[in-house]
Amino acid sequence: MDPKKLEEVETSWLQRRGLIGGGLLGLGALAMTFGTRRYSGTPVVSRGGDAQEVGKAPVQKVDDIVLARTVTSLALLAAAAHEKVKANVGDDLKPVVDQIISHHKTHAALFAGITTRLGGEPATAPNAVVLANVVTPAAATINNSESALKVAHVVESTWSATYQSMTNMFSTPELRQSVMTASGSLARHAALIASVLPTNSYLVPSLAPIAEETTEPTTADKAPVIVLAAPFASVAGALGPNSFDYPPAPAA
Amino acid sequence: MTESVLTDNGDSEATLISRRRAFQLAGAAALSATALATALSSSARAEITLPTNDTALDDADRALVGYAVSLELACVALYDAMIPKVSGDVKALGETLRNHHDVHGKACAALAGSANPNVANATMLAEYIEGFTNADVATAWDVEERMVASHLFLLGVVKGTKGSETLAAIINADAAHAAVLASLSGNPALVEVERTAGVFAPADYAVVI
Repeated sequence: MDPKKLEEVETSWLQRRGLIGGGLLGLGALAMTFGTRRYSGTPVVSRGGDAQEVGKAPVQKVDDIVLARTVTSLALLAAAAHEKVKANVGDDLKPVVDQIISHHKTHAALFAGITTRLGGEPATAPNAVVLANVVTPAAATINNSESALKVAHVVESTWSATYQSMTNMFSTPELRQSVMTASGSLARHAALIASVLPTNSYLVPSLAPIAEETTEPTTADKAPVIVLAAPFASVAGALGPNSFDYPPAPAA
Repeated sequence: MTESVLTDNGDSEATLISRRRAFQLAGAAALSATALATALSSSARAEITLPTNDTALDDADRALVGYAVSLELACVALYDAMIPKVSGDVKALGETLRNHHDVHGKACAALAGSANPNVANATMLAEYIEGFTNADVATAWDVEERMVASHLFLLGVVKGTKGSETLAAIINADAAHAAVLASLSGNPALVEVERTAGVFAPADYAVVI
C-alpha cells in the first residue's frame, strides 16, 4: 500500500478517535448535568455515572385472541414444513402428505375464523420463532424418504402435544374443544406416520413400505405393533410456552 | 501478504493489516453483539403472561365425566370379548387398548367421585358386542373414532380444568388408537381424520345403574 495513503488512514483514525473521545466527554457532561436532578425541582446529590434505571419489559397478555392467532401461525408453519417432506417421499406417500397439509390448512382456517369471531385479526404468517428454532433445523436433516418421514413424525407429534398443552389456556370449553379437534387430528397423523416408519411398516397394507427399507423383510421378527406408549397422550413433547412467537393483536 | 514491509511511520504493513483485521473482527463482534442484543430484546420484548383458568369441577362436570366412565368400561368389556378370539400382534394390540381404556375409566372415576356409575354403558355394549366377539378390527376402529368424538363433545361442555386436561389427554390417545386400527383394518387412515360425528350422546346412551 502507498505509504501516503497509509498515513491518511492513520490520520483519519486518529481524528475519529478524537471525535469519539469528544463525544464521550460530551455525553459524560450531559449525564452529570442531568444527574443532579431527577425530577424538576427535586435537588439530589450530584454524581458521575448515575445508575441507569432499567425499565421493565412490557407485559404481553396472552388471551384467547392471541392463542387463536398462535395456533393459526403454528398450523400455517406445519403446512409449510410438510411441503419439504412431500418433495422427499415417494409418489405413493405424496397423497397422504397432501392430506396432512390440507388438514393443517383447515386448522389454520378454523382458528383464523375463531380469531375473527373473538374480535381479533387472524394471523397470516407462519410462527417465526418456531420456524427458526425448530422447523428449519429439522428440515435441514431431510435427505431421503425416511428422514422426511421422521421429520413429519416429529412435527405431528410435537404439534399435537403443543395444542394439547394449550387446552386449558383457552378460557372456554368450546375453544378447548376446537383446539383438541386439531390436536386429535395430528395425533392420528403421528400414529399413521409412525406406522410407515420402517419398524412398523407392515401395519399399513394400503401404503407401500419405504423404498430404501424393502431390502429387509418387514414381516419377519415383527417389532412391537405400534408405539402406543401410554394411555394418556403426554404433553412432555410439546413446545414450551416460551418457545413461541405469540403474534400479538395488531395495533388499531 | 506475509512479508513485513516497513512504512514511513515505522509501522509494518503486517501490523497495519493485523490492525485492520482487528477492526474487522471488532466490527463483526459488534454486529454479533447487536444480533444477540436484538435476539435478547426480542425475547425480552415482552414478558409473557399466560392465562390460568383453574376451575374446579362442579356437579354437572362430575356427572359428565361419570358418563365417560361408563363408556370406558364398555370399551374394556368389548376388548375383553375380542382378545380371546385373536392372536399375535392383534392380541397384543387389543390388550394394550383394553388397558388404556381401563386407565381412562379410572382417571375419570377419580374425577367423578360420587357421580361415578361404575358400570359399563349397556347400550353401547349391546350395539358393538357382536363385532368385537367376531374380532372385527373395523368395528373396533369405529368405536375408537366414536370415543374420540364423544370425549371432544364432553370437552366442549366440561368447565372444570382438571376434567378438560384429562379429557384432552384421552382424546389424543384414542385418536392414535383409531389411526392404528384404521391402518390394521386396511382403511385409508386419514379419510376420517376430521371426524367428529358419532358421539355417544348421553341422551341416546343413558347409563342404567
